[in-house]
Amino acid sequence: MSLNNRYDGFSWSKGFLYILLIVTVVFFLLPVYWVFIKAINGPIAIFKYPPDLFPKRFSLENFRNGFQNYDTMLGFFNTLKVVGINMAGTAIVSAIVAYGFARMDFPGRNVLFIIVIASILIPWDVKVIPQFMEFSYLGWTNTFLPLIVPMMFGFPFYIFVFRQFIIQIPYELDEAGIIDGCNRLGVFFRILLPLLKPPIMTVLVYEFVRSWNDFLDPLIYLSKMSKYTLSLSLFYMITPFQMDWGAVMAVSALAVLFPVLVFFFLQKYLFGGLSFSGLKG
Amino acid sequence: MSRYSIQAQEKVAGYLLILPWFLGFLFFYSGPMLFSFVISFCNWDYFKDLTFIGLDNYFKIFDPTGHAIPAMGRTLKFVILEVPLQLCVSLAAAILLTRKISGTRVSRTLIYLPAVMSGAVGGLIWRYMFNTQTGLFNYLLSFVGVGPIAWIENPDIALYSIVLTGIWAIGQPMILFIAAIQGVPKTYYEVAEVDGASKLRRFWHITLPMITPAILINTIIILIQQFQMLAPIIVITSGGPAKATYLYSYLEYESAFKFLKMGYASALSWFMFVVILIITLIIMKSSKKWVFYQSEKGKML
Repeated sequence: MSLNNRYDGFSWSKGFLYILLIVTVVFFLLPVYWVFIKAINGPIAIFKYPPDLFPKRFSLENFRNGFQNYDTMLGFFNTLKVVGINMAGTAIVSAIVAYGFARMDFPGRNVLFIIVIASILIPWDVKVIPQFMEFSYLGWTNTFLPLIVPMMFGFPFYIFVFRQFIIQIPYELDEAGIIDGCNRLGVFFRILLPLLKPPIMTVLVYEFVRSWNDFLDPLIYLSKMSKYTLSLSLFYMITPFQMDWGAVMAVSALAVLFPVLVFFFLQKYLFGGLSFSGLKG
Repeated sequence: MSRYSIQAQEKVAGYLLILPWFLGFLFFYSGPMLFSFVISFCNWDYFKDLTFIGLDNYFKIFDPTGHAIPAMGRTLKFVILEVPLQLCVSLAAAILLTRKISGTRVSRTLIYLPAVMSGAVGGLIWRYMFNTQTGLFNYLLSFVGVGPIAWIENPDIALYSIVLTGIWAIGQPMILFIAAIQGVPKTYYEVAEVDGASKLRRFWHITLPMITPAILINTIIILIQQFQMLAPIIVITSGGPAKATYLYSYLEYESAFKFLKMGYASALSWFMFVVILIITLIIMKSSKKWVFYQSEKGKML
């Protein structure tokens, strides 16, 4: 028996495996492929039946309609603003909090860290209704504050990712810094931060995708058109009659393109996050 | 500097470093949740006429003629279908992607890809592909002589169509399963191979028991996610047709943000929280019987 198959479970021939792999990939790519094809195929192709499985013409008319007839550009820039602030803010705060959990010894630390982990699992519905009451009371509706401010206090999942990474860094490095006269924040910024590139990238990629794709929070808090984010302006392109599906597909393609690119080029950080988060066996 | 003062200093430094998280937890999690618990015993229509009504909101949830119990029934049906489906598909994909063949790395990326679509974009694409007359799904089915199916227009089918879209969102659990399968020590397979165990037996008796911790984690994460599944419902069906996809989370959403019944919505969300908590605890409790930990180190926390 060949040894190169040693951790296999089933005995399928390789040819069959390759066919299965290709069919699976095609199946999963279908929705993403379809939105890009329909976006560049022009408005005529939208309700053409039978549909062309492969693009027969190239036209940017859907994109023109999407940008001229709808506030897509504004939504795009609003999204960039929120995403940019969230990425920078939540990464640094989560890292500092994680440093506290990983390196300081104080009463109640373990209990508090269990609360951090438990709060990852708090269902969105349960916290969104009270948060909505709170933010409405503060007059934060129709501002980006409800999307940004909670992230500025650190995000439980990111704190977890940073903490798992920091506890694997030898404590001797911290001690060397303290002997050299650094205070705690000095140790963090001068010694640990340069070593935290992998988890920082993981958190930035996660936060980009999360923040970019956020749909329910903008839907609840933003009703002024000037504040729409990209996913919201996309949602309000839905109308019962005369809906411009071509424009919808073009804007959808744009909305999908950025996470897809980030994901494609930075996926090692997305998947790599697992290897140091302790979830890998 | 004395040893004691360094320890004291460390305590203070520790509390200061975690202070941002603690404040956030107070202001955005525990504080509002406590407030909503109080409000769930009140009638409160968007910041006016706050009146204490005792358990009335909860009685309203359990009123058999009301919306909440049928909605919870639909949600339970949805969760019971969706969780095993996503678990099986993600595990099958993970098994395929851990074979010793080339192209698995790029395939992993491509299979994950639809999971990075937002709820809004994903919902719109599904709506478009589910179109009865010109949609892609019915076109592809026409080759095998099936359909046309009224995916989201037929009340008997709509909920299953929403369940179906969940297949494309398995990126995250799949990655966890891949990591778990790759983490199984190779020596186990070598020993089993020497003993002449078939591949199926090796999967059943080595791989499956070894990845039970990943199965547990994925089950709980998917379960919690699917109970609150909302964005696709808003975009694809708005709870219709004929309330076929009017899930509990959609009832909560409408009560809170459309009808602004804050007291009732708070009660709804607390009932949901308790249901999720009980089911999660049952699964955790049962996990002692079926989850296999190699050592204490293998435990997640």
